[in-house]
Amino acid sequence: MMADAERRPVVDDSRLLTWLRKMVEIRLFEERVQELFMEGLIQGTTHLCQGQEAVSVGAVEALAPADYLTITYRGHGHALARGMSLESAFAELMGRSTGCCKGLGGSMHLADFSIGLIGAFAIVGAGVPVALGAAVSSSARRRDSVAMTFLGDGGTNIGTFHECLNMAAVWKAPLVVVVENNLYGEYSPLATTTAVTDIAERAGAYGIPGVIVDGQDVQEVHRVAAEAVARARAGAGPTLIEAKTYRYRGHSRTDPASYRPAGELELWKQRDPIELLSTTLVERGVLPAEGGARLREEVQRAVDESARRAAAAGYLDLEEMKACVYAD
Amino acid sequence: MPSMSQGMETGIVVRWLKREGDHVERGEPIAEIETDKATMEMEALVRGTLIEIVRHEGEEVPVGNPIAAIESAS
Repeated sequence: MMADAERRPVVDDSRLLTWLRKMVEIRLFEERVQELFMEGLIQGTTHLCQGQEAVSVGAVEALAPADYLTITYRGHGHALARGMSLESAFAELMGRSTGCCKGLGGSMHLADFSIGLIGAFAIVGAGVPVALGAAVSSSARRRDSVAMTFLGDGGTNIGTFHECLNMAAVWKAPLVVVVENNLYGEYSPLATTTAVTDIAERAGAYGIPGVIVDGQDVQEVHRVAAEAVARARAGAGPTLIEAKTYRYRGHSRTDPASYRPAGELELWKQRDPIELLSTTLVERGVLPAEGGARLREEVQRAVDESARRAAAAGYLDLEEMKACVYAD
Repeated sequence: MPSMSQGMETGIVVRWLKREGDHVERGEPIAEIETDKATMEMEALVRGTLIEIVRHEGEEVPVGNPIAAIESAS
């Protein structure tokens, strides 16, 4: 473990504090989404990512502004990590005209091309070919942008995952594949659907590096993601990263997650990604002992205020919606 | 009665996890609600005191109707 810690790029304290704030923002955003759903302000369903914040923040922080990313239906965390504003995300979930997709996308489709977020996909594994397309286009146009794609463990059983990783390896595409292994594909434990225990092993089939990382440790996630991004940018091809993580909530809003063994959630909460980084920062004297609680209160106010402003916005009318869908 | 699943019209109060007079934290589970899809925990939307349980265990309640009253602490 020492060897890994020594290999970490130097991340200054102010940046670590920014990461902590970002993770707290994602956590409290998701909790507010849960409330807005109960209040009837969010329709359909939602897939929340409490517990997985370190993967979003650590990996996205390894990207440069001109890089691309594709995310999943459990994608609020990635979008916020990439710089989408709380209000824009809340408004999108509530279907309001001030949302990132003017309210036409909703919870599963947070996208914003201005920050390189080129799509969020409700179909499992569907973001991989799109990210590969962005990566190949970057190479073809002799640009140095890298594409990162997020997917879950279940997504690695989808045909396009294998096709894309093979093609990316052959073409040495600047692609970084981040698999968030949260132990369950919807309601099914990994072992009941997947032939390997470690998803990273699948990299061997394409002759590319496969890296397992502790998904609860934002600094470790950042370290491996930064290496993969640098490798991709240098023309050495794709990397498969497997972040071992856990979602505290069920698969979707209507899933009480009663299929999980007793005590599993509590065990993972002992390694909460926000608590882990807070503890490190307190030990290093960067954050006062009560700093974590104060930060949470501060972010809670910002989250509540953003949700309030988002809920005050209107909806597109039918003609405006049509203009978003059909060309003249 | 909160909306807890897509298209939910009513919910059944399965069990109260708090009693009248109890303090509740925002986000703390206060009741179990049965929807058309599953039985789920319902969390408090505010921090405060549960002052009245309006609808009791076993009752089916339309979405949007009060099932309890919480006096907000802030």
